[in-house]
Amino acid sequence: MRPKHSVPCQEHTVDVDNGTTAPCAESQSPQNAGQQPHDSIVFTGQTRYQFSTDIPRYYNKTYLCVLARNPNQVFVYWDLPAFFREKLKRDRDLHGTQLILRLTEVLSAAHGADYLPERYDIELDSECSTLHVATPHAPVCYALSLGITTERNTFRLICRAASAAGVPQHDLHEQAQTKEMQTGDVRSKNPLPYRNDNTVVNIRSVNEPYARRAIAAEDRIRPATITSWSTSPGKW
Amino acid sequence: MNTQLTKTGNDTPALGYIALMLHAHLPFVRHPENDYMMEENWLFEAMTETYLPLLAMLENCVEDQVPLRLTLSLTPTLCTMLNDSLLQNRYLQHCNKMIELAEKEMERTAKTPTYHRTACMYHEKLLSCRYIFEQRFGGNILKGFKLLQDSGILEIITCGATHGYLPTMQLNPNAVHAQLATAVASYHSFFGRDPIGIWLPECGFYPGLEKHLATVGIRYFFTETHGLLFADPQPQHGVYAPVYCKEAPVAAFGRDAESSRAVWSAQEGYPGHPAYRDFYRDIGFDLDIDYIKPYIDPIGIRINTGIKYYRITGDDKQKKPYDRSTALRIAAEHAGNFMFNRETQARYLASIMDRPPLIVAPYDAKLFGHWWYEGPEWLNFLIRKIAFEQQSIKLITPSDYLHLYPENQVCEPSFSSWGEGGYSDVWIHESNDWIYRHLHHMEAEMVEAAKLYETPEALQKRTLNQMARELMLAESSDWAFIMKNGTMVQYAVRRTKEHIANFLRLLDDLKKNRIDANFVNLLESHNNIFPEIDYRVYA
Repeated sequence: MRPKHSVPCQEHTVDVDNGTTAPCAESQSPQNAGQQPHDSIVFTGQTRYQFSTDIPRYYNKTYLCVLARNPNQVFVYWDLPAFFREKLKRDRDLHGTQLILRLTEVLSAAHGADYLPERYDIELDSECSTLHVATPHAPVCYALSLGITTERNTFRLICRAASAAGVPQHDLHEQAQTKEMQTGDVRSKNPLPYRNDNTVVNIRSVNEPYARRAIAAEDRIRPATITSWSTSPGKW
Repeated sequence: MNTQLTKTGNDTPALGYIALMLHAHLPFVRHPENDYMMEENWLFEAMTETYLPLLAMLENCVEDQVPLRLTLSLTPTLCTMLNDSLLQNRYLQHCNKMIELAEKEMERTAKTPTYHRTACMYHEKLLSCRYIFEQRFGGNILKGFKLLQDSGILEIITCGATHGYLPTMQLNPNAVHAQLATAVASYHSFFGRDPIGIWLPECGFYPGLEKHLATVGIRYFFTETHGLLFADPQPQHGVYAPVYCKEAPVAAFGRDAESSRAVWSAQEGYPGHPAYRDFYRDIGFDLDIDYIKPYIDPIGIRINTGIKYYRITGDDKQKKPYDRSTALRIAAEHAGNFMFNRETQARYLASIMDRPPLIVAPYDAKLFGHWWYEGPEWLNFLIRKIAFEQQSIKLITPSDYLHLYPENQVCEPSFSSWGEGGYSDVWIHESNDWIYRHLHHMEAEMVEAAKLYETPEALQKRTLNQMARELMLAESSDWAFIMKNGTMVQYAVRRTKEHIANFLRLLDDLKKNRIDANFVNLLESHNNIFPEIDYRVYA
């Protein structure tokens, strides 16, 4: 999966049921198909009955979901009907069709009027269905879409994530490298170090350094601009 | 409320306030299909080591007329298990067995006074647990917590229905609402009133959640420190005063990092002191298998029994014997140190704030007694020292603080959790991310079904209600947490898959109009949480 910056191109929607293209539409809800293997369980004592653990691997529908994991990563998963995956494989070999996950920054009031939102494309394997994506900016919202590009570099939309992923402020991640913040999880006495393993796709080869901001006691309580106040609406 | 304030001595102003919050939670683990299930020990250990000692300590404070206000979150899953007759009977059996083991240990250690004293301590403690459990509260210790709440000592708050991690549910707002509304209904059934506060599962907050909290009548919640520090706009008082959320009139209280670190940090925290009892050396692993076999897993898997004879000891490889009196002396010293540091903190903060600061100190309840054996005694010393040995700080609950200081800044707290890294790294991880495809699918199907079946037949209604139970049980954040942490993973995976498979089968049967009443009966008796649930909560 090689990350690359995207090149602006026209968007279409791919109808996965018949392989035709149509104007963009919202992503659909998930449904079912396939089986996921289950673990063997050692039971202790007398077992009177047992429930099945057989569950589908996919739901055989077309959708894309995204969840913000931390200021540096979003988790993305999607589903495509089995026949469509097969078609993708064939088209890739014959026509160079490539499954693409596209991230587009969503403009907010914090951005200046002349700011151009950045866009990133990630080439996907047709068998792949989940991804942890390293995001370059925080805090920012990313809109995600799944599509294909052909040899003529046209992006054809398959589906969009129903909601954008709001990546939170970045500063804490810097602190998470220190012992202070590693004690934050009261349920883990031996917290594992932050892991950036090979399942994470970096969409920039070199991440920009982010300024560290130590939060000292004085910093925490420094006066801030207060825009509104409220009193409790009811009697306590 | 005013009566309570007078009773607990909180009616005179203080230089600063401390809100101690204990979060008591266990996932729903109940296995009627097995005579013995190792995972049910999670509850039994917590009962003996944490819940019963805390209850006894608080009752003693009441008897000694110690002014005190404490916040306790009891999750709906834990309340259901504490209220369950099968688990109550099994706990009593477990307790009797442990008393028998402690008696054997007293005999075994009779010639070594150092260990014998510790064996006697366990015996006495177990007898006390059995007495409180069986004689005082007839097997249901929820009654004890309810009494403490009714007498103005405790403020019991709720949590998500099955401790579902809400930031991963935000794609389906109805699922978030269902977790919260079911939790509120469950709380009402146990405590005869509505909860005013909530401990968000894993302290997980995302902007906009406050609207759902307000809908179900929740007035306040807690966030991790950076949830408030990164709020928009930045709160004037940092985490030392609550803020009201932008989208709904719900107050957010931020966790104080200093008081958290003092108690829990593996490096700097009190529980790591060499005088305290070591958690890991347990006779379940140390003693001869023939001797210990009746008290561990019936198939011979060694487990913790709770009887441990050594202290942490420091860097020495050879552990030294536990000395209870020394450990208690250190616990008292640590309580004094904690109080002194909070006084200093409050004094400094009060000098630069326009109101008395509030130091919010939430902890996992199981820290007190289970992980940190002397934790309940430390808490006891702390409560009494704050009451009688100083005048600058007072214990308070969030609702009391809001009663005293109803005017607060309006901010939008940021996405945060109290997990490692401060966001969702624990619950969205390469080891557990596979669950979300299924959970989101189930949530969408549940919402659709709830809207579709407006007037179902009796069996359809029971099926829909059980689907709601299975979905909520699958959503428990505990399973993802366990998968990520790598212990008992098989159990967590199995539980998640079972609930998903149960849900999908019920859904399929419902859609095809061929419901298997026997299957519904079995699930209703097995996963019997929330007997009054109404699936329409998803509509």
